[in-house]
Amino acid sequence: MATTLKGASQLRTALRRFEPDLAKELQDEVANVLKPIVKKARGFIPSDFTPSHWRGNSKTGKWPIYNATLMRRGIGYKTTPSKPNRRGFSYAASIANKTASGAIFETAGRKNPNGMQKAPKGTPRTNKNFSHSNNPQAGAQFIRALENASPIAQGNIRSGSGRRGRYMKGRLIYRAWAEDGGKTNAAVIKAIEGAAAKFRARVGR
Amino acid sequence: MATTDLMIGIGAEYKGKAAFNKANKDVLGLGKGVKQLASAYIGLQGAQKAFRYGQQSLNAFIEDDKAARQLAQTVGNLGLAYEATNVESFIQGLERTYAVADDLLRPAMAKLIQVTRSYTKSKEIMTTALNAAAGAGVDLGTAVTDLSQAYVGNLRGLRKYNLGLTQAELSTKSFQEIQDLLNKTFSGQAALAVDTYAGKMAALTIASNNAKEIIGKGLVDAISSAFGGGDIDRATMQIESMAKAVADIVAGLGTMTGWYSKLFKITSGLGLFDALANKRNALKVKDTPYDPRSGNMPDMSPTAMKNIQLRQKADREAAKRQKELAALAGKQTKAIKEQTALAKAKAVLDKANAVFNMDLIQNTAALQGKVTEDETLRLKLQREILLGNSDAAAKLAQELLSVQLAAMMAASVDPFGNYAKSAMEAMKALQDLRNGLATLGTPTVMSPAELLSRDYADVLADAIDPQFAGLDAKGAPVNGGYSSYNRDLTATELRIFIDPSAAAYGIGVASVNNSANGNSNNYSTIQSFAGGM
Repeated sequence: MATTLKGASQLRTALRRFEPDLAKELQDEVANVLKPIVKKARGFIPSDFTPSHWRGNSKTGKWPIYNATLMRRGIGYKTTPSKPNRRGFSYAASIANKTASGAIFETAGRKNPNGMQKAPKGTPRTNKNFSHSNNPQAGAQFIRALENASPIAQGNIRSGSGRRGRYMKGRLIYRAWAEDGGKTNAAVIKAIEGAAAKFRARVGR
Repeated sequence: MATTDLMIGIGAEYKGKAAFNKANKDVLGLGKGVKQLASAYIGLQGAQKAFRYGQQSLNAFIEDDKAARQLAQTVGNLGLAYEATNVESFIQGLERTYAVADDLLRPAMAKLIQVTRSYTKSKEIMTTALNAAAGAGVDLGTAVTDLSQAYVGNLRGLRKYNLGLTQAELSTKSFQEIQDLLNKTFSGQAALAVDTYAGKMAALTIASNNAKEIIGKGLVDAISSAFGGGDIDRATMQIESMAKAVADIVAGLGTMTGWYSKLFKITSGLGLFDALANKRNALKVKDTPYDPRSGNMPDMSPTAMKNIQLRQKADREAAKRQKELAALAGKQTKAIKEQTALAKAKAVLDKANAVFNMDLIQNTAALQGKVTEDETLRLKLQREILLGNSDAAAKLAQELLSVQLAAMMAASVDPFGNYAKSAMEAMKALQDLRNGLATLGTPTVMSPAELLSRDYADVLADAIDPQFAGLDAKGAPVNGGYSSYNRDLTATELRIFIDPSAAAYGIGVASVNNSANGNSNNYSTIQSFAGGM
């Protein structure tokens, strides 16, 4: 999000209406740029990872089973513009981790690196701010196992001063994005600008 | 697949907050919609207004034309067809002068002409009615109805004008006098009302309505010319085509009216329209009666002369009819008076007949012991009743009642000056009869016998009153006044024996004989305080 485009959605609309081949070309180009990142992120998911308490579904079904295949399939890319989010930003392309188990693997421990505090006596079990396990180290042990499988990394790689939040920290796509070092981002923008240049050249403006 | 926050966005583009975008889009859409709707509505409303105005103009003209034709028909039916033009110009003149709509004036004028059968008289009464309506705060229709009723002798409606006369006083006056009184009371009120704000508003309304009527007439003429060669019946055959034409004409008229207003504004200073109006008025001069003050030459054409002769004849007939109506009203008043007098006389005679109540006569005779004295009066009374002379009968009845009352008083009084209960009731019955006759206009009579009988009873009462024991033989007070009770003096018993029947008989005979001889009876009453007679 370090780079903000203007007119990307209009360009895409114009391409689809007047130069469909250019639109297709742009999509292919962006996809080719994003594919390595996705592949890399999928590679961070271990196939034989079997931590304690993550070997089956919970009784309520709210805690999903660890399924590496499913988790890998949930990581993907998109070359079409997204809907504006709550803050009003739309993205020309995106990489997402969509499965529940993939999200757990991606984000566990980024808020409480040592796990949540054990719930004091008398705390209702519905209170999600505390760990209700009988094992006070349950959270820490779980996070440690995940860290061993794939360490968490800060995906916000922008330079300069300022606080980096935890919302771009993760073990799969954010780690891959961090290790990419911004090259993919630049390549996507470059592809869009190239398409814009080609469009202008074609329509004579 | 469910959306997730675990996403890396590439090529971010700020598109504004979604809610703002939506709101903005909605507002823009709404504005556009409203704009389209407004433009459509304005267009529709303008067309509708123009069409509605056209409709109203047509309706106004149709109503006005109908009323004018009805009035002309009424005037014609009354044999005054030659006055139809004058009636119409008079109404238009009134409308302009007094700001009263011709819708009100036409039926009012028709009503007056129906009653008076004269255009000249109707004009006078209409002017009076306009002033009276404005002055008394009643509507013109009411004022015209009141005056037209007054013209034929029904004066009840004039009460609301507060002319300062009673209904009886009004009934003695002729219609002309009443009209003069109304003119004197309410003169100038109608002209004054026009100068008020309400009057000016009424004038504007009338001008607007007249404009509608003129436009409506133009529409009808235009339609009949365009589709029927001037014949509206032929034009109506092509009603569907005409409907479209109306819409076009209305639209054209709207434009033309706007241009006409501008043109009028521009040329008003040049006097072009004034000249046209003067020319039109000049053409109308021959239709209006000659007025020496107008400066216009009178129309001397044979038709005009004939019209003048007819008008004079109608006026003469109206005046004659008015005299006949007045004479008829006088006869009616006289008949009513005679009838009232007869009814009164009959009431008196009926009352006098009550004297011959046999029970009462027998009772009186039994108490009195002799009947010969008052028999004379009774016979006289009976004779007058038989002759139908109510006044004399009433007087004799009063006299007879007085004598009977005197006889009863003298006969029934006890030595203490009191009366028995039965005597009191009998005397009360006689007194009621006297009062009844008095209410019918015959005053009660105090006969000498009655006077003496009353004094006699008072003497008896005073004789036993201890308050008068202190008087000397001459009636002068001794040791104090009349009112002091004398305890010091020894009372001297004085006994006076009087035969009441003899006294009453003697007095009665003397008075009757004296009256029969034609002499007046002069009696001095005996002072009851003197203790004797």
